[in-house]
Amino acid sequence: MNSRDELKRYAIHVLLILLGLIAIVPIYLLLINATRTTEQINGRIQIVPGKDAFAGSTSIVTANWDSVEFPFESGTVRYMDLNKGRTLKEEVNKKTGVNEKIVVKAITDSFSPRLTIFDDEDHPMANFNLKNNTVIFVNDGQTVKKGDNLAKLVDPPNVIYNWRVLTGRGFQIWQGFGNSAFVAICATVLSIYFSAMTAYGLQVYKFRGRLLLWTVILIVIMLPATLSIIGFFQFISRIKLRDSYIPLIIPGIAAAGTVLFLRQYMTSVLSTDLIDAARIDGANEYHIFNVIILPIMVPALAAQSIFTFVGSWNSFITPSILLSSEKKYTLPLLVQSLRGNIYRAEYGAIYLGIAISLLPIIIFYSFMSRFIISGLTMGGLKE
Amino acid sequence: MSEDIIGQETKTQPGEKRENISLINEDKKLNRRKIGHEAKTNRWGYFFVAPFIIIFCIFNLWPTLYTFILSFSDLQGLKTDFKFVGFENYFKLLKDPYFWGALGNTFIIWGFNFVPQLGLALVLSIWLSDIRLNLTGKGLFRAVVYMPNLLTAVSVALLFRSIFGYNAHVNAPANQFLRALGFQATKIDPITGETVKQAFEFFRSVAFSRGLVAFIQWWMWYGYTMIILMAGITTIPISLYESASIDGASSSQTTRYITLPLLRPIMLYILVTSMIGGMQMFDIPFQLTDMLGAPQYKIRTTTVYQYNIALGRGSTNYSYGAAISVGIFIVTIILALIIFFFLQDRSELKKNKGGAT
Repeated sequence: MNSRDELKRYAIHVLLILLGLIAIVPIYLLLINATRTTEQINGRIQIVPGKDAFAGSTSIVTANWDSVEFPFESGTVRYMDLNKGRTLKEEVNKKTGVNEKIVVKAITDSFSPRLTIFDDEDHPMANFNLKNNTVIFVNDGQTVKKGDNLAKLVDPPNVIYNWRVLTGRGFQIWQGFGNSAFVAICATVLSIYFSAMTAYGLQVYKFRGRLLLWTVILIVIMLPATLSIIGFFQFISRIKLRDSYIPLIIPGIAAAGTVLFLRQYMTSVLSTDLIDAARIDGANEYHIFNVIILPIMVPALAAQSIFTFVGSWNSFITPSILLSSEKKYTLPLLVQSLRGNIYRAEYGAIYLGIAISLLPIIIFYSFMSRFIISGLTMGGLKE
Repeated sequence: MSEDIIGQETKTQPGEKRENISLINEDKKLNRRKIGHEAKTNRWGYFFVAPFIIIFCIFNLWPTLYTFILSFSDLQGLKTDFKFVGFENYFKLLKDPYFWGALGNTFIIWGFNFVPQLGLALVLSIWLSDIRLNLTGKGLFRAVVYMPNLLTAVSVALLFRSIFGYNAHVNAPANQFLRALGFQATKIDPITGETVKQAFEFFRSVAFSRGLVAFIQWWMWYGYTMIILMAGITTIPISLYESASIDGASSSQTTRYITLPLLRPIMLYILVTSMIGGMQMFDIPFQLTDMLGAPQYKIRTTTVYQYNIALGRGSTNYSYGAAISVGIFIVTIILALIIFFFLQDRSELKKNKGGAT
């Protein structure tokens, strides 16, 4: 190999590593931020320029606004409402009269720090734009020590805190998992079994109309799925099956893509001799399918099961238009609820919620990647 | 000849025609010899395909027809009865600038996703299949770049939304990273008049938001495309490359005259399926910003528009939504036909030219 080829090889490796990083970095950011507090996610900012001691800490705890303790050695601390030219302290006192129950949350952006004051029920009362050298207070009744906010790779207390925020505000994670798993498993089992039946019927029996059926299957694969969505929604509403799992599970029985995949696999593994031998033994046709054919099909069934399961697990638009009671929410709908006002400014919890929704797939994939990738092309490729 | 090889072995596409022909032949045979027993056995076929047909008719065929029917009606809101209004919804659709705008958004986003997707996947699949290059870690690379394809799109959209920051969350990871590199946006403070450095508000930029949707789609799909193309390359007989190299062909020449022409049917398949998928792009553009296609409705794809018209919060214009469905369908068909006619002919030409070499 000459040096030019060597150089090319080197350059390609660099590109591959770069692309691999692009695939991983978002996931890395997700996991790392799920283990951080909102303050850390917002940045380890230096609140008072030149005073590094405070880097990373955005919350100072005061029991009472009148006795604020500044953990600075020196430096000026101003906290002004620049919009109105008054001190923040006055503003706070005016709004409440008493100053104990008030919660001040920092939108800790060092570029244009803002301060939001929330009342007991977490409704924002006032917004302030603050200049860079402003200390922002969080009066949440807990004491935060210096250095507490330095981000660690895995910080169990933060994860627990985020978990509590997440689950304490209606993110019914186990319920979501249960619902998604139930729907996806039912849909997958039905889809795989009946698609295998259909594929077998098309492959082995020469009945009238099978050419038509095969053509329909090929056309359906090419049809955009959203074509029928309005009709589907109206039809399901009319037969009073909204907010039920039936319309999410049963249509899987007619999965054209799965039939195509399985039939293509059958073409390569199925021999008529085998079926004939079983027939001579007097086996019933349905029995032959269940006892002889299905075991042969296991590799293809397993591969297709994964794709069907993942498709159902990830599906969003159909459950989102049909399911209305939160108890029945599948995981993607639950994840969507993270956008809601209730999680406003709780970025740690939001990241954790997203991470929890993705982790099962990532973990499963990391063990099964070889099989899944080979399954992608199993239907049509000679091994 | 060469096309046959691929047609036989790729996942779904090129074999279909052959399949149909072979089925027709078999059916003809069937008519000729109707041995009683065999005909009886063949009736079992109906038993095996019956569940599919029943469920297909109820949950697939009827909703599709019903969508067509509703597109000629005035159904909206909570009422269940409707009357037919002819082509009114379609006239409205033709004159609806938002629909055409959404179509334009969809094309732009899809194009910026597809061109790099196919291009990169093609280059990578050729490199990874190249024995002479003998790259290390191929399996790991393939596994890593395919992974995003399996992730929940809603979660992915929310993840990117969080990374780039939305509303007050402007100091999100992306901005921290840029600031560490020394990039900041500047803004003039309305009170003091000084120039203040601040975080980028990414989702206020149309170009950025569209680019991000295209990027996420690319991120999720190029690994898949690459694997399909690699599978296609493995079906090309090695003897072709061997004889070419005996004739003194360089690796760029074998790529150009063997790999690319033989991959053409698969690329056509990828193009068509990606286009159909792209026309239905929903989860990412819907979840990335405000569910309406902000900024300035510029990432509102056709499906997002349809959802917001018919199924969104408080908006229940089903009949018009159905017309949008049909509109999307018609555009998809036209595009598919254009692709087939345009690229099929050219591939025929290429093949004839290639015949000489």
